Amino acid sequence: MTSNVTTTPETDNNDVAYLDDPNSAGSKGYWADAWGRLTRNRMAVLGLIIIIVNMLLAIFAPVVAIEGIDDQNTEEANAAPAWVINLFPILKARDETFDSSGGEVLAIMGQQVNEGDLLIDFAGDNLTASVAGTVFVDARRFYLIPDTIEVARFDISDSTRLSVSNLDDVVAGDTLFGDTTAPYDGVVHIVNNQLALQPETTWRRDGTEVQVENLQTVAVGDVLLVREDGTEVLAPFAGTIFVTRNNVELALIPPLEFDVPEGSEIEIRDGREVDAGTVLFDDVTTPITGDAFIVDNKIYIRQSEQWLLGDSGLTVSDTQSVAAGDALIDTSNRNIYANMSGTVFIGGDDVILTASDVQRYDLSDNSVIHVADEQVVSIGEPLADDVTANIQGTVYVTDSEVLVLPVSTGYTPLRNKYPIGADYLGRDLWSRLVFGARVSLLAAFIGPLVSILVGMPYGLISGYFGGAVDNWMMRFVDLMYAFPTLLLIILLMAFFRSSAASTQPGTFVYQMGEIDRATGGVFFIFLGIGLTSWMRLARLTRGQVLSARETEYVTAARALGQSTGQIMIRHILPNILGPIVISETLTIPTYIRFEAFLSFIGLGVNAPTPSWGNMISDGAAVLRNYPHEALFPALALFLIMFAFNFLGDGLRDALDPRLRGVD
Amino acid sequence: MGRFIARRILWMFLVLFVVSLVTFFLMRAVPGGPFDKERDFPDSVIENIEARFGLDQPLIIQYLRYIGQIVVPTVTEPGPPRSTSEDYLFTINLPGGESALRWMNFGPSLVNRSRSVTDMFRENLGVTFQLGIAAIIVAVAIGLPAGIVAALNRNTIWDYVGMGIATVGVSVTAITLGPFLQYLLGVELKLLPISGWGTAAHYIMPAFTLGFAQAAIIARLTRASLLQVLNEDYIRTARAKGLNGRRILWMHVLKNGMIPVVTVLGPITAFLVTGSFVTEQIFAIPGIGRAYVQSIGNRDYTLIMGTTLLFAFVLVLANTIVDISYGWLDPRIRYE
Repeated sequence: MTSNVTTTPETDNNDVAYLDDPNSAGSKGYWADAWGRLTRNRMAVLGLIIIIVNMLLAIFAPVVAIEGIDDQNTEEANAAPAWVINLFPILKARDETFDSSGGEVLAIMGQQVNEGDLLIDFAGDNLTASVAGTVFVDARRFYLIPDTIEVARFDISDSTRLSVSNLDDVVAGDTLFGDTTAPYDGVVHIVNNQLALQPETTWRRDGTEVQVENLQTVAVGDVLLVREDGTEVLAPFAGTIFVTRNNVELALIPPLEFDVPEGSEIEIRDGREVDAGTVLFDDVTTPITGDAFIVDNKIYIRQSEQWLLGDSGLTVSDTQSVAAGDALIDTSNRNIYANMSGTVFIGGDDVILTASDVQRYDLSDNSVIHVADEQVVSIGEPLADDVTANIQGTVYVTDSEVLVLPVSTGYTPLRNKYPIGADYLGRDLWSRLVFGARVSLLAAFIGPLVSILVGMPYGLISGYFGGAVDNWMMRFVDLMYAFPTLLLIILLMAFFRSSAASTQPGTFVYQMGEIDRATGGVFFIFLGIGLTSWMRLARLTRGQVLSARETEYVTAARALGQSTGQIMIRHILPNILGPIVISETLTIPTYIRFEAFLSFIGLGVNAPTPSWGNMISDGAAVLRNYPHEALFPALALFLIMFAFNFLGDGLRDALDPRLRGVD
Repeated sequence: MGRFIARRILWMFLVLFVVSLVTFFLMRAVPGGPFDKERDFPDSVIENIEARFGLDQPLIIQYLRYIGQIVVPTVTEPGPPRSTSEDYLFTINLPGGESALRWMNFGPSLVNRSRSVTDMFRENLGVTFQLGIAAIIVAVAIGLPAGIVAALNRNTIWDYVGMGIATVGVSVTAITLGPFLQYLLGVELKLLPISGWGTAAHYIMPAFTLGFAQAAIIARLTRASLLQVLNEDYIRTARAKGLNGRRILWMHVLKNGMIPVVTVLGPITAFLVTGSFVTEQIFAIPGIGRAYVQSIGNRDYTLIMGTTLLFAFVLVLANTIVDISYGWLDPRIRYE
C-alpha cells in the first residue's frame, strides 16, 4: 500500500518514559516494565504458553513423535482411534470394510452386531472366544470351557460351610460342602454365591500307565490313566485325547483336521503353537490359534483352552459366560471392534460393517430367489418372487435371508495405534504434526530475522541520511512493495527450485539447491519469505528514524562529537526498537500463513517433509470421508496464528501503552 | 489534485512495467520450458514449435512483442478470432462494419494449445471476480457493523464478544477455515454443496472463507477508528450543540471514522485476489487462481505473464483508488 497518510501514531515522538503509568514508576527499566505489563495480560500469556509448547514440541519432535515422518503403514491408512471417530460423526455413519486377510473373522454372515463387538482377531495380537463357553481365571492363567461341557455349578449361601477353598485342586469324590462331592477332577472356583468346578483336562504321564491313544475320542467315564497306586483317572467329559511327551490332555473343543495332499510340504512343526493365519501347507492357513499336531498326513489344530495372563488386560471376569466374538483379552492395539450397530457381511478378504439401512428379506416362505450371491443390484430389481430391491447395492444370499448391502462409500478403520489417526498413506498424523511445527515456527522466526537484518539497517540508513539517498532507497522499496507479494514468492519459488535442479555441481546455485534438499525444501521458502518481508520494516524504521533524529538527545550526541555509527546504534536504535518489535510480532502470522499457503498449493516443502500446509492439502482431498486428516493440522495452524496474534496485541499494549485499546 | 492523480496513475504504470519485466525475465530464467512434457521430439521439431510461438527470437524482442500485443490496439477484420494467437479481449466493431478495433491479446496458451489465454480469462476471470466481490460483501457486511456496534458499546459484552471473534478471525486463513466449513456445513449438516460452482448456494462457503479474516480486520479497524473519532472535540461540540444522536453518528462519527477503513481496502483487495489461489483449490472453483498455480508448474509462459499482469493490475489499481480517495474523504489531507 502506498500511502501518504499515517493512520496510527507509530511515527509520533518516541519518548519512552511513561510517567503517567503508575507501574512504570520506580527503578525498573523499560523492558522489565513492559514484561510486567505483558504478564498481566491473560490472553498474551496464553498465547505465549501456546507458542512455548509448540516450540518444545518442535524441538523435541524426534522424541515426541511416534514414528518417522514417512513411515508408511498401509493397513493403517486413513485409520483413526475411537475418540477421533466419536468426534467426527461422519466417520461413524458409514459402511466399513475391514481387511480380514491375516486375521480370524469372528462374526458370521448377516449377524447383527453391537458397538464394541470384536470382529476380527489378528494373529497373535489378541485372543477371542472361539466357542461359546465359560471362562475360569486363576492367578496366572485363564481357561475357556466350552458350553458343550456341563460345568458343575453349585449354589452356596453364606451359611454353607465349605470343605474346600478357592482354587483348591480336587479329585472326583472329594467333598465340596455338606454331602456334595466333586463329580470330576478339577479346580474349585468360588465367586459370589456360586461354586464352580473347573474340570481338570491335563494329567502328568510320569508314573502312570496311559490307557488311551493319541487323537482317540473318549466318552465320559473312559479310563485315561492308571496311577502307580492303582487308582484310575476317568474322562470327566467327552473329548479328544492328545498324548504329548509329558502329559495326557483331553481337548474339550473338537480339533480342526486338515488333510495334507501328497507332495505338499508341511510348513509347521509338530507340537508347536500356531497363530491364526499361519500357513500350514501350500496356501492353507489355520483360522484359529492353537497347538499343531502332525500325524501321518493329517494336521490337527487343537484349540487352546488356556492362556497365560501375562501383562494383558483381561476383559472378562471369572466364570463369566461369553459368546463367540466377544473380546477376552485386549493385548494390543490392533483389535477391530464394530464401531456402530449394524450388519456384518463377509466377502472374500473383507468384512463389511454397514449402518442399519440394510434391506433384509426373509426366505421362510419358499419363494424363488432371482439373484445370485454378491450380485450388484439397482433399485427396483427383483430379489425374489414378489420382492424388489429398495436400495442400490450388493446382494448377499444366506440360507434363510436375502440381504442387500448398500453401496459402500468408504470406511474408516478403527485403530488405536496412533493417537490422532493416520493419513492416506498410513503415516502417523501426530508425528507429522509435531515435525510440521518445526517448519511453521521456523517461518515465524526467519521472517522477522531477515526483516531485522536487512530491513532495519536499510531504513536506518535511509532515514538518517535523508536527501537523495533517502529518496532513491525509498523509491526502490515503494516499487518492490507494490509488487504483489504472493505472486513474487510463487515466482521466486519456481525459479529457485528449477534453477537449483538443473545446475552442475560446484556452482553457488547448486549449493543452494543442496541446502534446500537437505532441509526438505524449507530453505527456499524462507529465502522467498525473506526476500519479500524486509520492505515493510524498512519503511517503518525510516519513519521512526526521521522523528528520532530531530530529538534533543541526538542533537546532544552530535554536539559531543559522536560518530554517525555510534549515534545510530547507541542512541537512535534503542529508542525505536519498541515499535519495530511490535510490528514484527504482529507480522509473524503473515509469515506462517505464507509458508502454509505455499505448501498448500504445492510450491512449499518437498514431498515427505510435513508442513501443516501440505498436510491440510492432503487432508482436504479426502475431506468427505476422513475429515480428521485436514482438520487437525488446520487446528494446529489456527492455534499458532491465534497465539502469535494475541502475543503481538499484548506486546503492543505492553511496549506502547498509549495505544492500548485503540486497535 | 489533478496533478496528484496523474502522478499516481503514472506511478501505477511504472509499477506494472516493472512487474511485467521482472516476471518475464524471472520466468524465462527458470530452466525447462512449456514443451518439456511432450514426448521426446527431435530437436528440429522443438525448434519448429518454438519458431511457431516466436520463442526463438531474442528475449527482449519476445518481451516487446508480448507487451505490444496487449497494450497496442489493432484494427482487423470483424468476426470471431481467426486463431488462438489473435484472440483479443476487447472488440469494438467500427462504424461501416468492415473493420473492428481490437485490444488486449494475451496470446495462445503454450501448454493448452487449443485455447488462448484471452479465452481462459473470458471463461475463468468472471468466476474469480464474482468470488472476490462476494467475499468483499461478506467482509464489509460483517466487519463494518461489528466494528460500529463494538465501538458504540465499548467495554460491554458486545464489545468483548465482537473483538474476541475478530481476534479469532484474523487467526484463520482460507486453508483453515475452508476445510472446517466444508466439513461442518457440507459433510455433516449437508446444508451447502461441499465444492463446485454454479448455483447461489455455491457462493456462500467460499465467500465466507475468503472474507471472514478480512471482516475481522475491518471490524478491529472500524472500532479503533470510531473510538478515536468519538473522543474528538467536534463530536463534543456537536453534542453540546444539541444535535440528535443519530445525526451525530451518521454525519460526524461514521464519515470521519471511515477514513482508516478505506485505507485497508487496498490490501484487502490484494488478499481477496491472492487468497483466491487457495480458496479456488479447496472448493474446486474454476477460477483464474487455480489456472495460475498450474501454469507456473507447466511453464506456460503466456498464461503466467497474463495472469501476473492481471493480478498486479487489480492490486495496483485498488491501491491507487484508495490513495486518491483519501482527499475526497478528508479534505485536510493535502496531496504531495
